[in-house]
Amino acid sequence: MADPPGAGDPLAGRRPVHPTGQGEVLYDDLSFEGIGAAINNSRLGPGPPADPRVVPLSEYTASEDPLSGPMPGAAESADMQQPSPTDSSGQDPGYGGTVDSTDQLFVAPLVLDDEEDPGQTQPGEEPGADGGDGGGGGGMTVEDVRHYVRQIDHIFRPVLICMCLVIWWVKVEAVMRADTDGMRLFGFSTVETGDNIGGFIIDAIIIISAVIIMTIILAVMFWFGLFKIIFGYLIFSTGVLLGGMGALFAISQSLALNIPMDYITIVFAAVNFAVGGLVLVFYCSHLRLQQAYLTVMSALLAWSLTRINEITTWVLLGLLVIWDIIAVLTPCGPLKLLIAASRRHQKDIPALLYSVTMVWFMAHDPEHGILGGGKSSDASPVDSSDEVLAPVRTGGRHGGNGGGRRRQSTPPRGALLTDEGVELHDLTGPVPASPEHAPASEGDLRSGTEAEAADVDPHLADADPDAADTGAQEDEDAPPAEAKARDGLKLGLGDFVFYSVLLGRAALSDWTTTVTCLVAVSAGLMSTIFLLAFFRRALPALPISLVLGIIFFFVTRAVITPFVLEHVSGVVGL
Amino acid sequence: MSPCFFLLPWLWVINYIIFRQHLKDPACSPVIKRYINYSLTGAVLLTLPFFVWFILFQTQWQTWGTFGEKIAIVIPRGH
Repeated sequence: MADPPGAGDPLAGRRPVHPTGQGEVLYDDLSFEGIGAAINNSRLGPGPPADPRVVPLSEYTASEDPLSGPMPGAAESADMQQPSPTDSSGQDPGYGGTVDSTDQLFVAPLVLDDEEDPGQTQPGEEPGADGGDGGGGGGMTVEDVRHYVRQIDHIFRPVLICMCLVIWWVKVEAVMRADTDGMRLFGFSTVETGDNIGGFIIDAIIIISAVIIMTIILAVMFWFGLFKIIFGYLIFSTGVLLGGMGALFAISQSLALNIPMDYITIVFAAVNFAVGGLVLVFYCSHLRLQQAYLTVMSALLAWSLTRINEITTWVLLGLLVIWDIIAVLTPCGPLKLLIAASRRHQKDIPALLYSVTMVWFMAHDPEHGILGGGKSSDASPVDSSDEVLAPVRTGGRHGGNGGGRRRQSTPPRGALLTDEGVELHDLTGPVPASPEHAPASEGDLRSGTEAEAADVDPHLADADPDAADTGAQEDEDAPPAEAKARDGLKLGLGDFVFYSVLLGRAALSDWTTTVTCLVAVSAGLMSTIFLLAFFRRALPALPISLVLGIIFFFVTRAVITPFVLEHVSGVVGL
Repeated sequence: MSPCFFLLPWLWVINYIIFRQHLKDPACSPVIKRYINYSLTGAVLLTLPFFVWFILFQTQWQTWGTFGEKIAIVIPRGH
């Protein structure tokens, strides 16, 4: 998308070359720049005054990025940051010579208190913080749009992979699926009537209650600082899930595919898989492997949840939608408690999150500690799914003190951070902890409940570098130059799981239903991300997707499938 | 590579993947580089017996009589 370097106008060649005055909207260019220009131009009034601290994005090149280089992740992000360079004066000749700051793609260093390091302004991809978003608040700048679109790509891919994995696995064994649909999960009585609908609904209520209770318990434990218990539990449940569920999964697939399988192989493979996963998620990490593991873990959990009865599934999903909304959007949800606890202990909320950011993340500025975690040591709460710093770094989680205070309160930080963010960063004291997601784990069904807690907040939070890098020593040596953007969408693994549960259930029906539900859930996720950009606060990721998915499932099954069946003969899989 | 990592070749592979970048780093101690390579070769060597066993089982399980059926979790339909 970048224009060839040297082109004076980043938008050259992308739109008609005619000066755009304020207020003129170009709709003929649908590139990012074009849309951004349209947005910017449509604002009334002059843009923000030229700010000496503002560094045009063009002046930031990949070579300045201290983290660019052999690091795969950094290269990728470096690519995406760079628009073509404009002239350094910041003027855009394509606009008829007017210095119109709204035309620029600014990246302003987020200096909250003062010019902390004007020289070190990291143009990174901290978008939009220049106040150029038309007066803050609800405006969207070009950078916001760009940022969000990038994040969408990053976050959508693993979700899609997870969903497709589940669909695949379910389809493989759909034919030979034992008919567990008639069985209650928690039914202990031996009297099983044919249509035990009430019983199935009770199952769903039991599950959601377990979710809620576990969330509250974890929130309370976090509040009281029982980190070891929390982490022990997370590790244990992740290990059991990976090992046990992985083994069951392998056995089930072998059954479906008629492959003989012996204990030795299963145990060997499962133990390897589980231990590898634990190490990657909770200890060191490699970005891709970690992401792969988290995705596979979510898919496994979702696959196992497709075993439950259909009525139970739908009721559970419906209740989850309600719970998600309650937990995130209402003041009585556990989210507030978690944020407060996080602030109090100055640690990140321990959770299993999928983060799209990179391993070489700058340890966040200690003052901000959002995601930097606290300064405390051993019990450092790990945002377990986040990248850790590359192992070479000696546990440095706190990077650049200089590079530190930057980029706060930008819209992309949106979500939870913006509301809290500003006030958090105003504190110059010890790190206010990061309001992150609720604790979640990818345990088995019972503990999958905390997964719910996680799914509660897909914040657009900064990616967290601190993951397990070690517990902790703060390493003040972390080079200040590691100011990689910490922005990244974070999505709790519970969201992955429940999207995939819906799709697994759809996969048990015919292909038409499966595909329409896939599209519906994806559209829901995109809408949620869009709303995230719009509202800039933590949003529950489940409701829109699940509601759309449920609607589409039933509508398709009732209307489209019979139609297709009637008119098409010899369709495979229907 | 402590003995507790025995029989966990996947862990060694992960180790190799994580530290692979340091093989190019001239400032990195050669001892470490040696161990990084060891971990990869060790993983491969450890996995070989597993594959041997797996193939052996897949092809020969029926000829092992009772033992074959005892250690099998999944017996294909029709056998």
